[in-house]
Amino acid sequence: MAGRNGEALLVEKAKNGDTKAFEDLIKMTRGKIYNLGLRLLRNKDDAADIMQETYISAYKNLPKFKGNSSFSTWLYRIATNFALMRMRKEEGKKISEEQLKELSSHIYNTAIADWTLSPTTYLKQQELREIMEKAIASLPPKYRAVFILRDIEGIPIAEVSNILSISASAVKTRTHRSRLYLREKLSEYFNNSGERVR
Amino acid sequence: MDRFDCEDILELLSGYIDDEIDSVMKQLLEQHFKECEQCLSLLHSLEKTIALSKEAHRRRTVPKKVVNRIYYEIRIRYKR
Ligand SMILES: [Zn+2]
Repeated sequence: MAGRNGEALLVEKAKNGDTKAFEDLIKMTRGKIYNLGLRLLRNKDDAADIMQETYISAYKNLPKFKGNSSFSTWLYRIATNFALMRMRKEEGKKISEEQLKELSSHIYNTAIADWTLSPTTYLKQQELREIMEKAIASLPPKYRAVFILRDIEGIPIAEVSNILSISASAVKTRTHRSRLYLREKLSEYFNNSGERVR
Repeated sequence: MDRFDCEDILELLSGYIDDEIDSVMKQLLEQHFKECEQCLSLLHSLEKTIALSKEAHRRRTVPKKVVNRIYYEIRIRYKR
């Protein structure tokens, strides 16, 4: 696979109207963009739409791409923006930003059980996955985007800040609050299923 | 600051997990974890939450149809 230099060369060719070079760039990045869409929007049709919007927009805006970030970071930014627009129209119950902010103030009010020691063989993986997916989906869009980029995709803080055009400290705060919230949701699950598995 | 209370720890947990805090802070935190089961549980469950969130999403391959449609759209729009 082409490295950063190969990428720059392909971008240069694509800027000059070489659609074949652009197709190579798509080949190099499509998995990332499609899966990001799936994670943010949770359905295949939306992920496919976002992907198409992203690449068409990227091709059109190639002259504006100056290579300050990697091409895939730039694509992530376009894709996340399109996804955020859709996410804001979503239905479904979400936790409010206020509630997220307050979470940390009462975490120590309840006993903290270490459910990481739970007998994982007993746990239904599919069930757990659904709980997690639902919890992530109930995060406000701008928190969900940060959490998915940062913790699921494993993108460094500085790059997430670049993708979302927010400060590094905003990335950290939103990541932290999202984690605490998801932990709370999992705790509810484990505390209940602890009784059930016995 | 030479000691932390649990509320301070809470705000630093993500920084600790991400290795974003300085070494002095880190030592103080680790000292606290030795003495406070509550905060240690919180750390473990937070780390586990992150690990489980990665597992919740299975990576999928992009359907060929979707990619071909994009190639097609770009070719017809930007044909030279
Ligand atoms: Zn403590």
